This record gives sequence, structure tokens and C-alpha cells, in this order.
Amino acid sequence: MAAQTGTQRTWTFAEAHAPDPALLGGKGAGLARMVALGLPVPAGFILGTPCGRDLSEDGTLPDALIAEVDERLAALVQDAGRRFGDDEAPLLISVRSGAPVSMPGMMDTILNVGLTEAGAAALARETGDEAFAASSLERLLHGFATTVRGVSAGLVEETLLDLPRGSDAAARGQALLKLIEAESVRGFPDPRGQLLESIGAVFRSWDSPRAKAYRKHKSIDEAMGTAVVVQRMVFGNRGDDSGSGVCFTRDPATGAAGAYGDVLFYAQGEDVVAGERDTLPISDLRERAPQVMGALESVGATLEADARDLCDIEFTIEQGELWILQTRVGQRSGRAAVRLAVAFAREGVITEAEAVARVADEQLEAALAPVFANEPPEDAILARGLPCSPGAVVGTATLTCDAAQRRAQDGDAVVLIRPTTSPADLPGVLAAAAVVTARGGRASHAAVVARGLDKPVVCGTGDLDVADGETVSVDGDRGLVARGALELSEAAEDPTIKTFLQWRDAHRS
Amino acid sequence: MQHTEYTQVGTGISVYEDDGTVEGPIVFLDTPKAVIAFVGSGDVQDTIVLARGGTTTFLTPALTAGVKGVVTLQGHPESHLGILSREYGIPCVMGVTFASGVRSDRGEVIPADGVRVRLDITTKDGVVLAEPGAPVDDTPPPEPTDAEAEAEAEAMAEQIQALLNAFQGEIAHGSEGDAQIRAPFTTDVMQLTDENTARDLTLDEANELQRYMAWNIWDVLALRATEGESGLIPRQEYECFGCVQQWQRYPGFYRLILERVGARGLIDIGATARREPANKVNLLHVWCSGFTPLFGRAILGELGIASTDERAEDTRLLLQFMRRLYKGLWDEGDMFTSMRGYRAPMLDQQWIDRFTADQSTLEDPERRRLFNAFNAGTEMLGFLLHFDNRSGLNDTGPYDLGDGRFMIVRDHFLHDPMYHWHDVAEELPHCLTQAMVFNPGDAPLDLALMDGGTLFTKPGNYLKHLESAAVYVRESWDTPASEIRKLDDAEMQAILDRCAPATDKLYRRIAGMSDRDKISCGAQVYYGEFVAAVARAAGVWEQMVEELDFWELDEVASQAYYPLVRDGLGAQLVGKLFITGTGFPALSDGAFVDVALADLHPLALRGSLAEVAADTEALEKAGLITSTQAGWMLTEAGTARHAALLKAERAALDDEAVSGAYERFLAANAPFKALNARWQSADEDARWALLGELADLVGRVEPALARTSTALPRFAGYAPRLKAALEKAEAGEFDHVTSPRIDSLHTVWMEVHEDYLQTLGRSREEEGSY
Repeated sequence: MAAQTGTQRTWTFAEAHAPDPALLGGKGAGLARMVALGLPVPAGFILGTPCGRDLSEDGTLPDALIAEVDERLAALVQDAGRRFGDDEAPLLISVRSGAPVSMPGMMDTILNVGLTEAGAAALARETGDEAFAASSLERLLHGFATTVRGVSAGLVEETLLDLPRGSDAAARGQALLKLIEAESVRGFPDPRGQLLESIGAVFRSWDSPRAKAYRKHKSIDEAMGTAVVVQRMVFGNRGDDSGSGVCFTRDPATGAAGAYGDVLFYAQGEDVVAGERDTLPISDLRERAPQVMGALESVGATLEADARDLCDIEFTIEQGELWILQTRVGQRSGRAAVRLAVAFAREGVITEAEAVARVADEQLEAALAPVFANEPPEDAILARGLPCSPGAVVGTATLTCDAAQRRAQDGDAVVLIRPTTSPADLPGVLAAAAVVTARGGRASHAAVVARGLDKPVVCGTGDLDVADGETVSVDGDRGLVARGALELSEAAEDPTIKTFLQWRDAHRS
Repeated sequence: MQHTEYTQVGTGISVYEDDGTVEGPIVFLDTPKAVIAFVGSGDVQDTIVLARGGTTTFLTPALTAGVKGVVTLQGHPESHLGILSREYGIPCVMGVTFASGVRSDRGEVIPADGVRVRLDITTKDGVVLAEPGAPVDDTPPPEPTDAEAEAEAEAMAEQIQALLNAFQGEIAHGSEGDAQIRAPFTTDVMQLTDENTARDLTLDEANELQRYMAWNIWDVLALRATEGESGLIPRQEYECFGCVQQWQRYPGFYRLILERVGARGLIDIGATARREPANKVNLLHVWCSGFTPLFGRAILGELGIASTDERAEDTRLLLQFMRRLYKGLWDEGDMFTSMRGYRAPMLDQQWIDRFTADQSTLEDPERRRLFNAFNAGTEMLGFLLHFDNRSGLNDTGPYDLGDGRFMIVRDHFLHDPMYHWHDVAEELPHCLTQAMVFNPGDAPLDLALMDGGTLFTKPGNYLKHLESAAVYVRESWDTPASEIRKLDDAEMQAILDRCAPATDKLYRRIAGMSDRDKISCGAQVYYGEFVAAVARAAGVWEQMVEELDFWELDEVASQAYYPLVRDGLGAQLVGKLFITGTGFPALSDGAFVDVALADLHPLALRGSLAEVAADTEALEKAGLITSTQAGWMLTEAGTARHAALLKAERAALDDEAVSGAYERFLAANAPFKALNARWQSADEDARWALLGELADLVGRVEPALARTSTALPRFAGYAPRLKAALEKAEAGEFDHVTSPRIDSLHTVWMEVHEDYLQTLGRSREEEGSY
């Protein structure tokens, strides 16, 4: 291998044994770390931060670097059993920026690199899903035109707006292809050309005006530079034995032990995040693919032991095989923060002092809010929905925003129950103590708004059999709506929280 | 002509002119009982009858039995009785003042019963002559108790006459008057265009239209105001009462109809009048759809029950509802026949072609007699079934056939299941259509087809110019127009044979009713008639009857009953409003809240606003917005008004262009929402990276917003608001990404999405986009 330590400019994830974010960028270092832990990560390699300094004025890579990239590509082919640039069985890759710190203005990701019209046709044959193949190509062309070739988003949109109404992804792809050809003599390159240009574009985005302004504002060293991560793509929509999801190693709302998250079968990762499709609880994965669930749990255990904290995991299952895309220390509710800190300390993973340091004041304050003592009896449960914003409220079921305002004025706690919410419902949401919507998920407007207002919200309950004026309880942590007033318990009486408060007193001096 | 032995005792107006004179004993009929007794007496066909008023139905049995002549003390040839006597070919002199004779029990001077009189109708000035030696009552008329009062009454009579000759003393009848009344108009409200039937009327338009309506109804009916009382049916009482009931309830029904079929659908219903004969969506009914309910408004004003400025939006609705029906009826252009030279040839040519082909000549006197009897007999029964008002009759034409010949198409409506007394006509069809071809030859014949759907001619007896005819039947109101079929002579005779007993039966039934019953039934006709046909066409009639208590009396109408009927104000008011042209008073300045979509749309998008850009006071006064703790919000009426305005906007919108742009917005919407969810769970470091993606998405939707704004300028405001929020976020004010309390990216974006949904009339459920 040409890459030698010292002069080495690229690393596979496996080679980077001591992940250094300054060299590999935050993202690259994270991937290398996961591989080091033995997690199933789609193969790929990293172009280190120094590479960006060797770029020519027009963003062309130096020949030596190109030679190295070619070698890395050849190795990728062997790993994947598909070939980059093979129109019969195309291997698609993603190209992402990976600066040591996050900043606006950096090119984020270009997906589906390596796809061509012929490749898309093969993909359609292979998956039997023409729409998927066409939209994969459209996505590449869109990203390539705007972020690689710098065609303005405005011009791209104008082109797409000129298409007849109801045009499909294939028609949009054709229009984008024509646009790329019209905007440059180079046209739309072959897979290798796509990759090299994409890498150059990521490096160039380090110098985008927005990124520069940010670095100046934050006094970040201009010489730091960005790394580039090149990685084989996996697809969660290659059949019923494929899927995507997000999994927490423990419940981020309550801190309870056990994997927690959402999964969607026959879906790409963005479908899960977009909230446009109703996700399934992660427990469904256990029923459907126990081995995959087992593998995922073992990944979780490894990650927790490494991070000594709650982790969230973005994963994709491609034809029965689990792939880990990204992991982070997981965000959590205040109550979960306290419970997790105590749990990790009791498990001997962290010290009591660390446990105390991990819980911010506002998290503790939130943890001290009353909670429902127990899960309600099954016959009281009106609906189980998505826990979109935590908290516990007992209030009057209210079906219109008018009534919500009136009741709130009279001092009632209002549970606003709507099929969906529109902006016109905002006065009702503002007046309500909790919000329930029949449709929509975590990314629905209702969820975004209620979270912004720190109110419990449960989404996607389906139509509720509840009368206006009835007393109901909303458990935003569990995603439950129940008939009647559930018993609230003072959080301070909770043994875990009591313990934490004692530690806090002891370690705060 | 010389009248050597007979002496002239009275003069009036001939209903039609004829060379011959008729002669016979006269008998005064002043109650329905007297009429019934008379027709049972046997000498009917030799007798000339004298009645007080000029309404039709009172003399029905006498007319059908075929009296020799008719004389009335009150009334005018344009009245129903005038129409009928002409159809029957019975010489008739109306509005006769007798110089000598005996006294009726009301003190009127009349010939004594049994005196032989002769009617001279060779000219328009009809003359009544009496045989020598006719009894004369020489006792002086009752002394005027107060000379001053008498002078006053005389002056009043003079004034009334002046007002009958010229509208408000200034404007003529006929086409000359049409030009005069319209001369000062500044709007084009009298012209039916796509544009001005799609939107709401302005105050100026509404007032100019009402001014014209006052003249138009005067032009048609002012003469009829002196037709005097009916001995059978208290018509003016039930008319004014029915008008009030219409004013109280029609606006709600009109809204329901509009909700069901929309403005375009309503215009299409109006076009029924062109597509088919024998349908009550016709010239008369369309005219009444606006005139009669608004007349009810004026009556309530006169009674002091409600100001005519109240419910100005209902006035606006009624006017435009009528205009939309007219838009369908004429397609475009002038609204009334009075603007069209009193011509109304509206039926599609294919009908005229068919009618022309089906004509058969009336040269044979037997056939002519049959046709005349059929025409008069079905018309008579039509009047009686509709409680003496003209809604059972409608003419269209003249249709020019060349060579000076023309066709008039006349509908006589008989059975309609919505009226319970129509049981007498169960064996009779819904409508009989007569296509009549006239050939006046060299004789001058002035035609005027009035807006009430009735043909008038000068000279009056046009039937003698009738050359050929064809008669058709529509069995039921819902019989398809394609099944309207021609009748042969035998069928006509059979119908005629059924008409006579039905007429007789109904006359006797009505004669036996109390006044309250008569008024109730008459008001039912007036109230049901002018909305039912349109409601049936719109498919809401059953809902109106079964769910909306159509036949229940309105509370305000009930309140108006006693002053109008018991206290006798109704008859006075009807005449006064017609004659003085005050039936359609102008609305005051500011009566309409001229609400634009832009006034209400921001509230509909955002739910509440601390400040409303439009005239807050006017909107609140109109009941469209209300102040709450959350700020100004739309009321239920405001929400309905907003929906109507949006719908109107949508009708004129280039839906294709906006939908195309919206598709591109949606392409960016899903990633935007996902990004917001990620944002809310991201730490500060990650948020900086997400800002770039947010900026890309804002850049992506800008072209779609720009394109949308060429069709809908309000969309131009969104890109600057998105950019302002983005700038704040990029400066580190992260609240400006998702906070619902400020104009954050999420707040603005959500508003854009809502605006698209509302503008295009889509729902989130439909799109699966929440």
C-alpha cells in the first residue's frame, strides 16, 4: 500500500487506530472508533485534513492523491462484492465533510455517488423499484448540480418548476442532467469523475463565505481544514428484510433500561427522521428479525461501555444484514438524565461525582416535575401514540382551540386534542397544558411547536374516543393518553431522585 | 258608431279592441257566493257581468262558463282579469266610472241588475251604454263631510295619477324610461359579465341595481296597483306577508344552494331557462328571486319592524343570487327584458325548430275554438292553483320566423305536489307548453314581453293573428326535458275536460276558506314558488323541507302578520311602494363591509393576531372578527366569509401554475420538517452544521415562492421573512429556528404550507402531511 505513515494522506476506517479528530475530522474519527470497537460499519476511507491544502486553485486533486483514492476504491470493491462504476451491479458511495468542528456553510453530504443512467436502470431491475432507482439518481444529480458544480439552487428549482405538473423523479432527473450539461462543458461525469469532483467540492466548501465568516466569528483556526469521508452506501429499501431505524441504548425519556427506538421496514433512514411515515417501536424488530435485534443490542452494549453513557444509534438493515451508520451520546429528558446518572454510577461505570456533574440544573428542575407514578391500567388507556415531548398533565379534553382558550382563561388545565394542527391552532396550543394529535409524528408541526413550548405532546394516536370536557391524562414520556386522572407522584419522593439529591448535596461543596 | 237608442252611462278602458259590439243584461257580482249562484242560474252566456276589481280569479266560474262581456269598476287591462278576458275572447271594459245608475251598497254608481247594456270596444276607450229607461237613483251622493278632506283626496288622486304616468314624476315607461333611468349610472351592474357575477357587488352597484329594480317593477306593475280588490282572494295581503317571509328565510336557503353548487353552478341552473321550456326556472321566477324578498325588506321598513339597512349583506346576497340566475338565463349582457326592447327569445334554437316543424294550422274554426278554449282554460286553472298570482304563467319570445311571422312560447303550470290544494289537479300535468305562431300581416302589432314573463300587445287582442300552434306536455316537474311531448287534439280536449271540474272544485273550496286560510295558502305559493325550482335543481329542496322547516313561519313574518293583514296596511303598502318607487331603498354608505381576502387571510393562517392590518372596527362591527385574550380572531361568520373569499380566489386562480410550485415546496418540506426535529434534539455544535442545511432549504423554496407570487402577490412576503429568520439564526439566535412564539423559520414555513393548503383547497389529511 502506497500510504505510509507520515506521508499517508488517506486511511480506511480500520487503519485509523488512534482516531485523531484533528486529522480525520469529527465524523471520520467517530467511524474509525466504531470500527475499532468491532461494529458493523459500511466500508470506507477518510481523506485527512492536510489533503485540502494540496488542492489546486480550481479544486483539482493532486495526481498522487488521485492515485491513492483509486487504490482505496479498488479495495472498497473487494469489500462490497459490488463494483464502483459497474453499471450492472453499481456500488454507491457517499461523500461527506468531516471538519474537526461543526460549522455552517460546509458541504454536508453527497449521496449515491457512482450512479449513472445505466446504473439506475440496473438498480431498478435489481430492486424491482423503478421509483427508488429514479429518485436515487435524481438525488445524486441534485446534489451534484448544486453542491459540486455550484449551480444555484434557484436555477435548479426554476428548471424543475418548468416541468409539467406531476412530473416524476425520472423526468426531474432528465431535466437535471440537461441542466448540468448546459451549465458546463464537462457534462455529468462517470462514477470516478463524480467521486473526484465531489471530494474537491468538500474541500472547497471549507472556504465558503459562510464557513469563513463563522470561523472568524468563533476565532477558529483557518488552517484546521476539513477531512472527507467516503463510504459505501447501504439501503434499507432493498426489500422486506431491509429497513432503517434509530435506537437508544436505554429509554431517553424515562431512563429505563432496555433498547428503545423506532424502526421502519423497507425504508431509508430519512423516512424515519422525516416523520412522514408512522414508525414502529423497536420491539417489532425483535419479533421480525431476532438475530438482527440481538446484534443491535450487542452493538448498544459495546457503545455504552465505550462512551460510559446513553447512546443513540442510526442503523440500516440491508437484506438482513445490520449496518451502523452513526452513533452519538444520546439526548435525554431531565428525568432520564437523573436516572441514568444514578444508574451508571451504581453500575460502577462512572463515579458519584461524575454522575452529579452530568445533570444540568435545568435537567434537574425538569426531573422534579410531577410524573405519573405507574403505567395506567389497560382499560383506561385511550391511545398509545408517539411520545413527542415529555411531561405529565391531567386536564380537560378539549377539541377546539376556541374552547381551549376559554377553559384556560377559567384556569382549567387543557388537553388540546386535534386531528392535526395548523398554524391557526397556535392560540389553542399556547393555551393548552398538553397537546394530542391523531396524525403525524415527531417531525410534525404540532410536535415541533409543543417541544418549543416545553409542553407534553403525544402524536399519531389515531382518532380518539373521547368527549369534549372529559378528564384525561397525558403522559408525554410514555406516549399515552388515558381516561380519567392518573395518580401523579411528587418526583422528589422518587427513591432514585432522592439518592441523586443526596449525592448532589455531598459533591457540591 | 251611432247609439241611437242607448245612452252612454260610463267609460273605461277596453282590454282589447274589436269591431263588433256586445249587448245583454248586466248583473253585479260582489261576492264569491254571488258568482257561484250566478253561474248556476242558467242565463250565463247572454249576460254581461259587472265586478268591482280587476283580479282574475274572482270571476273564474263566470269566465269559464262563458259570459257575454265583463265590466269592472277598478283595474286595468294589464291586470290578470284583463289577460284572461283577452284569452277567452270576452269583451271587457275595465276601470269604468258610471255617470248614472243606481247605488251599490258601498255607494258606487252602477247600472241596476237586469238593465241591458251594450259594450263598445272599437277603440281603446271603452264605452258602456244602457238601454232607454234604465233605473236611475237621483238621490245625491253622500255629502262630503269635510270639503277640505275631499280636496285633499282629490289632490292625492291627482298626485297618484302623476306618479303612474311617470316614475317618481320624472321617468317614462318603456324603452325611453330604461334609457333615462340608466343614464346617470356609473357602474356596469346592469350588464351581466363573468367578472361581476363571480364576486360580491359593491355598494354603488347594489344601489344602482335597486334603483333600476324600483323603476322596472313600476314599469311592469304600477298600472296593476289600481286593479283593485279581489272578491275571492286577498292577494295583496298574502303577497306582502309572503315577501316578508321570503326576506326572512331566502338568504339562508340561497347560501345553502350556493354552498352546494357554487356560483358557477347557480349560473348553470339559470341557464335552464334557455335549455328547456316548461321549467319554473324561468323569466318570471328569476325576476322574483330578487324582487320579492327585497320587497319584503321594504315592507318591514315601512312597518318600522326593521331598518332596510339591517342585514345589508343579505341584500347583497339576494341581488347577486338573482344576477347569477340572469347570467345563466341570458348568458351575458343586459339583465332585464326592459333593457332588451321587451324581447325575450331565450329558448335554444333546436326547440324553436322543433316547435316550428310541429305547427298545425288553426284555419278550421273548430280547431281554433278548441285551441282558444284550451289556452284560456288551462291559464285560468293555472292562476287559481297559484292563488291568483301569475307564477303559473310564463311567456318567452317573440321568436322571429321571417315574413313578419313570429312565435310566442307560453307555459301554463298546473299541478305541483308542493301545494296541498293541488289535489284537485292530480289528474293534470305539471306544465302545458303552447308554441303559437302569429302572423299580424299588415296590421300593426306592438309586442312587449315584460320581465314578469307576460306578453302584452297593442292592440290587445293578438289572438286573432294566431295562425298555427303546437301544444306540448311535461307530466311532472321532474320529467326529463327530453320527454316533453306534443299533444294531439283529442288529448287537448281531454285535458280541457279535466280542467273545468278542477277549476270549479277549487273555486268553491277557496270561496269557503277563511281569510286567514286564504292568506296562508297564498303566502305559501309566494314563498315556495320563487326558490323551489332552483333548490330542486341544486338538489337541496328535500333538505330544506325536511331538515330546515321550510314551511314553518318565521318569527318576524308572524309579527308582521297583524299590521299587514288585520290592520289592513298590506294593501296600502304594496300600492304605495310600487307607485312611489320606494320598494328598493338604497343602502346607506358603509352598509357593506367590503372585505377583501387580505383582510381576513392572515387571521385564518395564524389563528390570532395582536393587530389586524385592515379596518378593525368595521370588521368587528360586521361580526367577522372578535377580540380574545390571544388577540383578534375570526368569528364563525368571519371564517365562513374567509372561506367564500378563498373559494372565489380559487375560481380565478391559475391552479396549474400554483400547484406546480407547491409540488416543489413539498419536495423541500419533508427534509425541512425532519431537520427541525433533528435541530430540537441537537446540541449547539451540531446545530451550527444544521444551519447550512436550513439555508439550503430556504434557498430551494425561494423560486417556488417567487413563481407563486406572480399569481398570488401575498406569497412574495414569505421569502424575506424566511431570510430574516435565517439571518438571526446564523447570528447565533437559535430561537429563530423553531420557536413558535416568534417569526421563526418553522413559524413562517408552517404558514407558507398552510397558505398553500388553503389556497388550493386541500387538507393535511388528504396529503398525509402534518
